[in-house]
Amino acid sequence: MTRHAPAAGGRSLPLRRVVAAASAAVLMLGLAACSNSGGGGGDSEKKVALQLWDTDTRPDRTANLKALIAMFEKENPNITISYLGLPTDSYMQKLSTAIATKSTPDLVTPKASDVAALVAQNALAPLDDRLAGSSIAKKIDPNMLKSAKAAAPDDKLYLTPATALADAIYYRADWFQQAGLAKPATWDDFFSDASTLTDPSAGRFGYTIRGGAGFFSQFVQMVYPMAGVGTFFDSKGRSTLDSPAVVAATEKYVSLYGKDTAKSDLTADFKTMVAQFDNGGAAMLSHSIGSYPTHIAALKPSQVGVVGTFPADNGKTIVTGQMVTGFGMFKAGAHQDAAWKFLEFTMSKEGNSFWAQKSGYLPGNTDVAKESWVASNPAMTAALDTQKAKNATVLQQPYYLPQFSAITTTDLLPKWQKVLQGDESAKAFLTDAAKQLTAAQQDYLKRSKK
Amino acid sequence: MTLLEDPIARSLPVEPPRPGAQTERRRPRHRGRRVLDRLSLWVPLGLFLLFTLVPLYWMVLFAFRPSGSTSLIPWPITFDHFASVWNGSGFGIYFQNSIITAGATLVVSTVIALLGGYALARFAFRGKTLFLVVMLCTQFIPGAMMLIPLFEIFNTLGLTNNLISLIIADTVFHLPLSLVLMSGFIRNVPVEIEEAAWVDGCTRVQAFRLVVLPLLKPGIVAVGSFAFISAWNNFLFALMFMSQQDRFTVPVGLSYLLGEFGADFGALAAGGLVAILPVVILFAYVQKFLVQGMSAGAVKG
Amino acid sequence: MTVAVPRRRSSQGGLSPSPRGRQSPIARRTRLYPYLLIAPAVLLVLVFLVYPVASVFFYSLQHSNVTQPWNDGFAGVDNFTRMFGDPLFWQSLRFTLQWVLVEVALQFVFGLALALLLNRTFVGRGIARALTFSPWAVSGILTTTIWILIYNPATGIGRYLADLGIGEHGTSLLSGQGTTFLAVVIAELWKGVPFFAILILADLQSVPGELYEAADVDGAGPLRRFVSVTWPHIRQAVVLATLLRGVWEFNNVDLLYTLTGGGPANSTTTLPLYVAQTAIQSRDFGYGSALTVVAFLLLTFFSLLYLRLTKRGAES
Repeated sequence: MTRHAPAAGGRSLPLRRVVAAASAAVLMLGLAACSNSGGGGGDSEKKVALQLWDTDTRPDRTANLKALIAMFEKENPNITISYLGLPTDSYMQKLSTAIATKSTPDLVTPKASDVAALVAQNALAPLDDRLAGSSIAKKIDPNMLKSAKAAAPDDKLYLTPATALADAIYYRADWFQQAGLAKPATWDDFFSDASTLTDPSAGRFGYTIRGGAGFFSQFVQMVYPMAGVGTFFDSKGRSTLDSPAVVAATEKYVSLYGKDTAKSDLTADFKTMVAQFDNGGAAMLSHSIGSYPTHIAALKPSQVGVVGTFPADNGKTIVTGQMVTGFGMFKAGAHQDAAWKFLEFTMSKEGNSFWAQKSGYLPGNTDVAKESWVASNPAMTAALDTQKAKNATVLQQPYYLPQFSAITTTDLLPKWQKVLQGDESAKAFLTDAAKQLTAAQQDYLKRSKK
Repeated sequence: MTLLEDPIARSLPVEPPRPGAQTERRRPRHRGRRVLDRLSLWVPLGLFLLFTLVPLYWMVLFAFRPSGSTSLIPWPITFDHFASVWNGSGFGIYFQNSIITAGATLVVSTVIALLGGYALARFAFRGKTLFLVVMLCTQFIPGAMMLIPLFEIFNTLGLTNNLISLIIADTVFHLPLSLVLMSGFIRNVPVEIEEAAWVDGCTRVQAFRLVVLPLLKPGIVAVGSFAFISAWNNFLFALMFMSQQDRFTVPVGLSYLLGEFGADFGALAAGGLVAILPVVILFAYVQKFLVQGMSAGAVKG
Repeated sequence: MTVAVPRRRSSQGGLSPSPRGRQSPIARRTRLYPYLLIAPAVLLVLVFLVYPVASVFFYSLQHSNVTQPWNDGFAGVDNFTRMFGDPLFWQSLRFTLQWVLVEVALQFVFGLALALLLNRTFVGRGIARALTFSPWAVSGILTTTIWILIYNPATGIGRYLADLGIGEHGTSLLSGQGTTFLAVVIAELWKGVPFFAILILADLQSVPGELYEAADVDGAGPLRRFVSVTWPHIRQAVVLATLLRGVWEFNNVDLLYTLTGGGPANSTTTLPLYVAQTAIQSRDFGYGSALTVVAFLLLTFFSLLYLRLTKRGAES
């Protein structure tokens, strides 16, 4: 039997050494070659590098935002802004992590509903003083400014009211035409149209109701205007959710489920609703003007009709879903002046016009609101018509309440589904919801008195 | 020379009758059995293929069909979704990052698993059970609950915004599975083969490299592909640890296509097809290593 | 032909290379070997996981909600007492058990069947393998999106079936009474079966062919062949892989979160999904950590139990 070279224990272990050395080398290289995020950049001369995090990243929006940044950089050659896109469904986790680990960027794109959470973490810089000293202060839509301030627990301004969303009801114009129906103009129209256009054997339903994640926005969108109730809390800070008008409207709304809507709407979140409507499963859909581009991409523009909302029996038109979305800056940012310059730009005529038009959202600059493109976007005109209606009241949702999203997103959803299934009465659901929100509101009022 | 010492014989893949393979015995009287035998393969396999392919076909449908269409065949065919996902989302760079991350995780994971798996399979040492239990316990807490401490650790090491942090995180969270699986495969290689090599004069390392490693091909394929795929599909860490757009990976890029204000199913399906294609090709290539090694011949001598 | 050379046996039955006289250095090196080998793994875990895991335990004893920092502070066992009175906690625990057991059992059975099929020789085997393995490669967000589309009454299979007269329009397995569980099980199966198939197929390669031949000579049928030849060989790896897969199914909420959101009406909420809703959505990190700690302890307990039971089975 042949023998290889002596294999006594005194030999070294080449393979293992190589592997260990390689792993160590890789780690070393990594540590040496590490590059931290750009952050504030060096402050040599006046060259400033900012970082902006986008909380609602979509391919077309990214392109638009980068173009907006390019416009700004051209006018401010000493400032560069690098863009980071966060996914729409998980940006909050990233922001919270960044705040907790002190690694926040300079700029961010918050919605009004994000402000309370960010302010509670002491993350955003208040903009009131800066705005007061700026020339664009006079040009800002007062309603949107009020909305933006109302979103914060301390009524300060934390985001530029660059754009605002508004609720809209989409309907299949071609189906309406085929059935000889006119554009719906009242709640009675809405309910009867939904019933007429329901044809289960053909897989068509008159409406798609949001039974799943995020249901609360659409719930408020439909029920409050039906009820004609214009405030979320009464003067004593009690929730209006269990008021008789709202209860009656809810019961009527819930009766649509299973009859004029697909049973599968029970768990429908945004994606499912959109899939339903855009693929010919439903004749009407409630959402915001923000989804208009999605609908006309799937269907032809001529097939998509948009209408705002309808007046209640008491004559009031309740405007829902006004959610200001804009730009804000972090308190911990190293270049607050440069960051403010960009925020100003987003409200300026040039910047705001570009941004609002590309987004398809309502502009915050009053001059821009008069521009011609506003009238050519069906979703926006529908929303604006609603706002201009007689006796129009804007319903402000209490985004300033820190418990608001926890209550309406996590806690109320399963109960809402029970109501749709018929396992719980609308009244019981609303009483429970009202109790929780009233408690949150009272807690807030007490704290803000201190 | 024994089979172990003959380098030429060793390098030729030997494929003795596959285990579980029905030996095709020609018995003209039992031709019916042959038909039954083929049926017993193709009927269940067909069902599995159907179950696998229908959802994949749905992805193909949405990727190649114009938005809003409801036909069952992607006709008229459109490539718009691919264009919008590749150009609009900057997919090229995400792809690159994903490949780097997943590839490195594959290598690091497999190496550490080989080392640790060998220890688990061949040795009984004090603390072995503790080691196993600790490894197991690391799987019990979801990564989402540990984001901030993990970020802090990487920050201290200066590794945030560096793909290395992803590689480490992916490896660490995948390690217990890799270790356990690899030790199982190593244990399946009869110790006698190694002992024979030692008797022939190899060191433990040589024996491992020359004798055991070739027989571990199926194991390495399995463990490596699990590690690769888990890193390829990791979304949370990629999002949380990177803060530069050109460091994100494919899952993050895909997540841009779906959200509260836009649902581009077509682009998502197109992106998904692009994301899955390299892995399927990889599978098609490595699956041929999932064949019996030489263990059958070697022990008989 | 082996030559009889005095060999040292380590306690596992593994041998060490033939010593050339000096025993102590060999003994020392042999003793150190395993520790050196597991050192990288241990190092990684120590550096990267000890602190994070400890911090979860720490937060379980705190009130912690970043959006309501005025309530933060030491909570002692408050979170745990709250948990035991929380009906959703118990409900999610029950459902988690159901979910994990059903999923792992089904995935294992189908994965085994698929592996056995793919182990046979036939034309197109390579393609069949690549295709049936591919669901495993599809990323989480994509898997959930595909199944959302499949279950959606306007875009999914249901629509075409309803056109043919099977089932109703506008219904979906996902939201039907009692069919939601089936719907999510199927969706998760799609991804989980390839895992077991790949693993078991790799394992099957190490079963020596001559054992099958011997079984054939004995006239054993396929079932007998499986039980006495195949199973003993793949058993140990399968047992551990099943445990790890069970833990993974326990903790992984992506599919449930996106397909049903834990609904309808919390009927498909697992404990980790409840944790995600609590800690991430509602920002109640303290309570969420407490839930995580309880999940951790339960998993530890059940894993040890499972290992002990399967070990006992191995010895018999």
